[in-house]
Amino acid sequence: MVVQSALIGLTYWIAMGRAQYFFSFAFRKPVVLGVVIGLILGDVQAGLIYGATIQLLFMGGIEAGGNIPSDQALAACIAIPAAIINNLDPQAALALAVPFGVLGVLINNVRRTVNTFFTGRSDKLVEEKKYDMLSLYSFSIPWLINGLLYFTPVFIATLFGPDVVEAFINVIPSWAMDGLANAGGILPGLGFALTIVILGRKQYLPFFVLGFFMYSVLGFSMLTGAVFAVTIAMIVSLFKQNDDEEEY
Amino acid sequence: MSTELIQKDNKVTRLDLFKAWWKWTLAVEVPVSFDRMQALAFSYSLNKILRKIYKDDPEELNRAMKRHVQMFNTNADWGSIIHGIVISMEEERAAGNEEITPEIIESLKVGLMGPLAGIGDSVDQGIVATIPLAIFVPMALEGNVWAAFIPGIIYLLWSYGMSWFLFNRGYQLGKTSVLNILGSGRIKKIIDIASIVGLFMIGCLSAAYVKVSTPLEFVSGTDVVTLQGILDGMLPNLLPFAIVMGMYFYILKKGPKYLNIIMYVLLISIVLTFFGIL
Repeated sequence: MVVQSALIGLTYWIAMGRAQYFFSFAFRKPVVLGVVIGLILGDVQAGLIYGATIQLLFMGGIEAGGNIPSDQALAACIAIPAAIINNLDPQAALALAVPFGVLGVLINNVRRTVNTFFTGRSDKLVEEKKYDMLSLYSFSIPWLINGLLYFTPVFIATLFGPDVVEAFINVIPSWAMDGLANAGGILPGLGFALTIVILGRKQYLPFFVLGFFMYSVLGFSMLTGAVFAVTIAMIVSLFKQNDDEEEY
Repeated sequence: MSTELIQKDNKVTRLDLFKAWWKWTLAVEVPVSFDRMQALAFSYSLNKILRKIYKDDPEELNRAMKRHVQMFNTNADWGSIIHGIVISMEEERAAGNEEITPEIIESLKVGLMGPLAGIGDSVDQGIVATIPLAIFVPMALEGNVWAAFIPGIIYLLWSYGMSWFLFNRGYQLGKTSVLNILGSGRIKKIIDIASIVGLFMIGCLSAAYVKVSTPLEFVSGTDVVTLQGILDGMLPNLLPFAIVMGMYFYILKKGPKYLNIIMYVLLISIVLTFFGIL
């Protein structure tokens, strides 16, 4: 278990250490981490399902100005191993993921505070014309030091966490567990609501309503939904174009 | 003759540009700090190029190094155009163009990073990262492993391609470039279409994955009537719809207080479950 815990700790470092930002951004999605963690723990399918379920909560994970609203990678790296080992219900895994998502924001703030040390240091290095040192202090050193910050909590949580979760589940009354599962059914709504806010434009809200009830009534596949969506958007932009032309 | 030789020696090559771009994508969010954000990543990206451009003028080099460890924060992808522009301006300045003052370079950096962050974050994270998730996560939920990776691959192709393109564009066109790109109506139109697609898809996803129903029932005459049955008769998925809308307007009104919403949801669900309402 020590090796697996270390691997999951490394996974979290790759996800949130942010070296090659674009890659880490794609990698840190719970649905991807679910497969990776599943691979490490020997159950890819379970990891995938837990990861995809947790992903629903973090649909609109926009990081405006580097402020992460919630750390989806920490949520995934702690909840998925615990869920796989204890064979949890996906909804319960989602509810378990939530507090760690919030906790991860704290890690990011600690990191950015630690990094102020390097910016302070950089002024001195420029003054002394030590430009190679400046390079070192700009990437490699912060990256390695941040690594400790990321690796350690996940390593410890994976090593001991699942037992704690198991003990917790054995004590907790069934109505509370059902309540958590119900909350797990509702919480993806937050991810969606957030995405609506991000996509902006209040006047486009009717398209959300249309999508919602078309799906409720017809229940098509998401790819079909995408075809509807693109078609509708094209038609709307056709009308818009005409309006624009009239304006000129 | 001798000046020509020096100029050739100082010339920024495509390989230099590529290395600078690669370093930017490598470092961008790593040394981020509260006081200067991505400043060190910017300086890390330009470090070698500045040393090449100002090879013959250590004092100017030092000043250039100093101005590029100052506060910087933008979108990792769209912001790449700033590097291109700054490199081309620094190069001109080193070649003796007095019109390009340090103030112009600095104000251009500061002036561009905000708008580019705004447009870049909403396109990259709001659209390119989100809409493919909306399509493929449901397939992942059905157990398709490959579906887990497609949104990431789409995002990677887009962001690496786009940022390398913009980096070069910035270098070729200099400071006029951004105004051209930001001002073009085509981008506005694409964002428009993407927003509609996104909202429609989020509507479908909300209907599919927000799960809440009530087991409440009561006796009317001789029949047992379930409340959920009545609700379904009015409008399918009424409760999930009300919940997503409620959260949406809460965020609009009170700002992004996710923690509050999560706490309310946990608390209310447990209480309502205890009383048998959920």
